[in-house]
Amino acid sequence: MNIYLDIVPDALANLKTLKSLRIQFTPIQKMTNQLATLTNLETIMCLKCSLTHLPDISNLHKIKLLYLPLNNLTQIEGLSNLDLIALDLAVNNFTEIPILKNKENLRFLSLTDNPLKNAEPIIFYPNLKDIYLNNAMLTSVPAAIDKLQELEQLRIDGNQLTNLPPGILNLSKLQRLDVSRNLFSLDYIESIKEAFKKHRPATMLTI
Amino acid sequence: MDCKQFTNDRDVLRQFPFPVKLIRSMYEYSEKSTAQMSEDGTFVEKIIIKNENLVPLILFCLSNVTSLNLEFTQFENGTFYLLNIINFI
Repeated sequence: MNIYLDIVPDALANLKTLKSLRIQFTPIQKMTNQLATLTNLETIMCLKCSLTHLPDISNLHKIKLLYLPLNNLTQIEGLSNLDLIALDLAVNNFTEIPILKNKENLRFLSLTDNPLKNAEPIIFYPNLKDIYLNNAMLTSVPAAIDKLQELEQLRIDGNQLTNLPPGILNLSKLQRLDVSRNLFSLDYIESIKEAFKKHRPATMLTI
Repeated sequence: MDCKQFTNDRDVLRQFPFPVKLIRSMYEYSEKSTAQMSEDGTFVEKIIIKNENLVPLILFCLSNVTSLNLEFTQFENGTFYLLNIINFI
């Protein structure tokens, strides 16, 4: 007889002082709604938990780090209400980049391996340092990418890009740019290499 | 789940179906489950359950814990567990 239900029990509500909840490599069919009562939580991580749904987390105002890679999530109710520093949704089924109410504090964003419609919302987060949008079915990079003047690392490899916006050369803090495995022509690849060599020699370009 | 049956957090840990090693810092690496007590030793502050068969429900009696880390361990199904006991009887 199967004795595993894979439901995070309601008893989780007993842990009122919990600041960090990390669950890794543990299948969870359902996360208890009591998660929403743990208002001291600062970090939630569920890595490879087969999650398809999370309860509304809009009341968890202290959360700064939300790591949910390798699940089956398509949306997270209440996410827009949070003031995050890091959001990792890699390897899920999001079609849109979430838009948070407070956009100033987000430093890290990953939606690697998600079927995204576009990447436009990234320009709403002016203080992003690391962006991972590789393998995300993207066909373009936002024209206003140069609004992200704090950007240090941008991974947009494994998409369907045919060109890059000229503003990408204006990212003065960019240390690493990976645009490999896209649909650039050979001539275009050479022109990008030349442009970075001339304008951004310190940027490590992978194309 | 009746947490009143336990006198303190150390008592809770003793009732776990697997040993939980008490460590001074969570930076101490271990392949198995570990816990760190509060500075005054009165409650479990941080706990890692790792590579065990099941997460025991009494874990949730550690009501002052600030950090809970579960790795490669499944949650216990209270209902089926009870049925198993009835069948056994």
